[in-house]
Parts: sequence; structure tokens; C-alpha cells
Amino acid sequence: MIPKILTVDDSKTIRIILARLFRPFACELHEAGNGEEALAVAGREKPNLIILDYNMPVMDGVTMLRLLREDEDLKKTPVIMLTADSSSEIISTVARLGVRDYITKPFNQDQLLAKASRLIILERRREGKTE
Amino acid sequence: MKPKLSSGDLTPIATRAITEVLAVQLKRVAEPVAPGDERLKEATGHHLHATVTLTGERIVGAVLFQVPVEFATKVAEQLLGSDAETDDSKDVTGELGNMISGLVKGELSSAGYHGTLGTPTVTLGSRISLHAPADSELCTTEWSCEGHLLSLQIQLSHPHPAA
Repeated sequence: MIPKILTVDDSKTIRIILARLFRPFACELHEAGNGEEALAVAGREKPNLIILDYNMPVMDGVTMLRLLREDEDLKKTPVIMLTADSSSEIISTVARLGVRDYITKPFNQDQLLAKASRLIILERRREGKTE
Repeated sequence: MKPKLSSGDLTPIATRAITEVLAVQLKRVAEPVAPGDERLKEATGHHLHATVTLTGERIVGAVLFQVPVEFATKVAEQLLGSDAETDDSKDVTGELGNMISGLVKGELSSAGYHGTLGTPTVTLGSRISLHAPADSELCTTEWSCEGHLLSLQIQLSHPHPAA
């Protein structure tokens, strides 16, 4: 099974940048434009990693994260926050909600790729799916 | 008492924000353009404007990032490659405005002026300027990047006396 990555951002630009970044690797990419859409996609696809923006219309990233952590099937899904907002209040809130990494925009694509790869490997080890 | 922010306080914040976004996300360098520079008079044609509001207890205002359409198209091609579509330059401009605003907000928060960012609004037209009421501060910085003139404005007012 190839790993599934869900990217959640209201900016099409960011979703395409991330798609182009991960496309060369063996993974299945899914997208959502806000937290509400993301919960629906996550419920259906059970991603191995979610890359999540904070400031989005309809449902923001923190609300989505809270609901994700309340879902028995999805609560352990690793999440990387990728957001332009670097305020300490948001960082501490998402840290309490188990966010594994926090990357601020503008971002270094190689750094994001390295962090995402590490989390996917750890997640698969946790699930006992070593390859 | 926390002193009110002046446009002089905002200029270095604007400078750091735009130079970091251009360098990290676009691998581009921008040079500052002085207010009286002749090139600014020639900055006509269509521009894309990304505006992001900032709302807090001690500050209320907006960040405006505007670029010529040709620059936005070039950047969209760079970031999105063959995935770029005709209208993507608007979204790209909005995202760059979002990144710049995030950095501005971060610096203001560190100085004790907390606020919440809105989502970017992108419009198309000739060059514009943020409205600055009499009791507000307006910081305007102009930049040249590969022959294109870019502009970044921060407008802030203090809704309540600073505590």
C-alpha cells in the first residue's frame, strides 16, 4: 500500500506546489480546500499524513484538528501545520492537539519533504507496515 | 503605556516581510525603490492587488501587496509549472500577500500588538493605495524585482488607547 497524503489549504497555489513536490514519489495525493472538506476526505481515504493550513474559510485548521482528534478512526493521523500564521497562541494550541510539526510560510520545500517523509516512515512503523 | 506604532516602525517590518517571501518562496531578490524615483511614474498598466485585513484589540488595519499582472504570470509559471492555468496568477498573488501578512503579523505580535488575519482578497486594476484615516499610520514601500515594480503597504490604526 502506498502512503496517502492529504493537503488542506484554501489556496490552490499551495495545493499545486505540494502536489508537484510529492508527485515524483510513490504516494497517493488528496486535496481539500477547507477543514470541512478535509474531514470528509480523511474519513473516506484514511490518510497517513495531513498537511494542514490554519486560516481557511468555512472551517479553519484548528477546528478541523479538534474534530479529527475526536474521531476514533482518524485521531492518530500525523499532522503537519503549514501556515503563514506563526503566533505563539496558535502554535501552543495545535501542539496540545498533537500536531507533529509546524512549518511557517514562506517555506523551504526540501525541508517540508524531509519532515513529511520522516513522519510517514514513523507512522508506518507504528502500524507495523515496514517496507 | 505601550507607544503607538509609527510608519517608521512599520518600514523595517515591511522590508523584512517582502524580502523573505521573495527569497524563500520565489528565490528572487528585490531592490528598494525610493519614493521620488522616476520609475514609479511609469508604473501603469494592470496590477493585481492582494489585501489582507488585520484585526486586534490594539491595532486594526490592512496589508496591501500589489504587482503588475506580467510579474504575477511569471511567478505563477515558476511555482505551478505546467499545472498553471490562466487565472492562477490571482491565486498566486493572494498567497504571496498571505505569506507577507503572516510575517507582518508575527512581528507585530512579538511587539505586543496581537491581531487576527483575514483571508486575502485579490482584485485587478491600476495601482491603488490603502485609505489612511487621519489618526492612522500608512507605510508604503516600493520594490524593483527583475524590472517589475512591486508595492507593499501597511495601514494601521489604534482603535483604543494603548494600555
